[in-house]
Amino acid sequence: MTAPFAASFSIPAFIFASLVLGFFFGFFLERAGFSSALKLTNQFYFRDFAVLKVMFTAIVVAMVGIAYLAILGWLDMSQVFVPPAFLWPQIVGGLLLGAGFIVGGYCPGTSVVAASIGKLDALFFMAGIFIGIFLFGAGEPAFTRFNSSGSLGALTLPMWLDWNTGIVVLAVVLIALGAFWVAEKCEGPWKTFARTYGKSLEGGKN
Amino acid sequence: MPFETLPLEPVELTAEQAEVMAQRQLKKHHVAIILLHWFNATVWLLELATGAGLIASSYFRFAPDWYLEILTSIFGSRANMLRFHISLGVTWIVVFAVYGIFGFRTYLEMEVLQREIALDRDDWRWLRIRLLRMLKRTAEALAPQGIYNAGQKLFAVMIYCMIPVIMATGVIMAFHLFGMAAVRWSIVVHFLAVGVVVSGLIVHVYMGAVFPEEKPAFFSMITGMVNELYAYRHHFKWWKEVKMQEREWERAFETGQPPAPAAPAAEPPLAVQPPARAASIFRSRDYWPPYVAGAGLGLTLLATFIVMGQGLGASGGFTRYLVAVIASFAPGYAAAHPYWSNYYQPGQSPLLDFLVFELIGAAIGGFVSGWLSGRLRVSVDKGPRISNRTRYALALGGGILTGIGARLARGCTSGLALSGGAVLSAGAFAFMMAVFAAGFAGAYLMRRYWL
Repeated sequence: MTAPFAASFSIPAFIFASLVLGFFFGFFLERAGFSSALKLTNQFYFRDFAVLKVMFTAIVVAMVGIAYLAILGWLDMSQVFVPPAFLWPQIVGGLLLGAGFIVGGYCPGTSVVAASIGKLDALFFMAGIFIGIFLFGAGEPAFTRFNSSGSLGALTLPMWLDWNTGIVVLAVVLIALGAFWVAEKCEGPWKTFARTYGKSLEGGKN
Repeated sequence: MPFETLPLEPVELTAEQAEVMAQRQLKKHHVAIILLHWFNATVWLLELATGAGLIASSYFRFAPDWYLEILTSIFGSRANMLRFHISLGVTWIVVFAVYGIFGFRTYLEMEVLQREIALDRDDWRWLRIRLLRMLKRTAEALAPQGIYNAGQKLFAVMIYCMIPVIMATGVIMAFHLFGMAAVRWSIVVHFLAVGVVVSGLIVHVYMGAVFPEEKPAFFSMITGMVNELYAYRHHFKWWKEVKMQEREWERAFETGQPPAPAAPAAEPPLAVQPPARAASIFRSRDYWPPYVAGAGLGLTLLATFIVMGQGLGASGGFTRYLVAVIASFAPGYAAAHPYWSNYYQPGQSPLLDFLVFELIGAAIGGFVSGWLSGRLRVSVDKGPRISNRTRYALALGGGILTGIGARLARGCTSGLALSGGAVLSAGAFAFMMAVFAAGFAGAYLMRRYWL
């Protein structure tokens, strides 16, 4: 039997599997320290590169695993959901989400975990998400055109670059390793930078 | 003389002792070994370069076309390249056979192999401490090492296992021995064995050529010598052996007596106190190192793809909860609305979805993790200069921006960046870059609220 298996699950089994997978999702997010808005936003002040390191480690581990299972024929890639590319909405959406991240201190997944250990600000953030989604959904008919612009289907990097999947996987691994190296190098010197960066506040000029 | 009596265990050196030791050289490698090492390195480089171009099956071929073109223009034809690969490989086998036969007593003696390859108790301890130190779980000193450290020994064991396999399968393939089936299997085994060695080679080359602490080891492969300070710090047991032998010879010179056969180095007394046990990592109050937590998250993501055929997510689950609320108040509106109707059809619950239950699981998982590590506390995360009320307003505003952005992008940091990234979705990488760009840009504007 080839993966994915969910199609053959009964409803209770499906719910149970979802809860278990979610449990580990939340557990590891919390362990990484992503239940703290201060730790998350420190990424953007070059004080702590945990966000980058955790994200890229997770992507690399899952990507390599998926690539191997697909090559061995154990995972049927035609049954795997690849997020469709809508270039412009995704870039604008990314900018909005990045802005929301630095203003609010969380992203949707981490706000759930933060709220679960008692962070009150995370509850406000979650309320904000619901409001944002409501505003977006209710108003969507007015900008459907933009929302579906730049549609490229389920485009993947190997398709876009016209490279072998294995080469792209290797390239992403190398880029991630490079990013880790830069992050490890930067954490020290940037701390000094960040200290002065923060100092501009003391003068009360800005 | 830096030491009156030789220490049994590594001791802190004074600056003076270190200075003297840094100046002195010890001989580590015989010139024959150095030549063999570089011969081997050259062969590996050339065989890997041509071997990569020889993989015919489109399933395994990873070399890009331009690379194959370069190789073809160098060798003229693929057949020539194959001839080169085989003749170099045979030369390599012959050289190693000569080395094995004539150097048998010097290099392949049981005692030498035991000293240079077999892992003893100190080596296993060294590996364990090394690993924990990399994870920042311990500050314990590394166990003293012999002429090669445990990592080098592991690499050697792997090489000793894989090289005969590579040689045998290569010969079978090159001369079509034992029938077609054997040749076919040889192709796969050859490829796998080379892959195993290459994975070790990457570390080996990195350690030798890049890693600053191991610089003396790299130069010892050229000059044959290492300085005594390096030997003392990194290969203490070997250093002690060399020193004991030196003293034996000195004494013999002074007394005119022939030296007694080198006495086996006295076993250092067992460590007095057992190494401090790292506190259980599940109850540790510290966050896990990002690479460990990231690997856990990655395995969870992989399992999700295997079981569910989709990745982890968050904002999709939020949307479904919201649609469920809307539909319970105004089912007609929800079913007729062009956007909400994507999630709601009359008679169908918008809540029967992976993400909906996954979010409940995530809240439980976060709670359990926080509980085990003593982080459960009603609190507010904020910068030092703002009030709680300001923080709530910012969180709400940030949440609204995030909600809009996530729906526009059709996913959030988990649903699009993480899950899409793992299946190499082009949109996911564009999204990721946008998130980081806006985050870093916004960080400057928001600094008074966080710093």
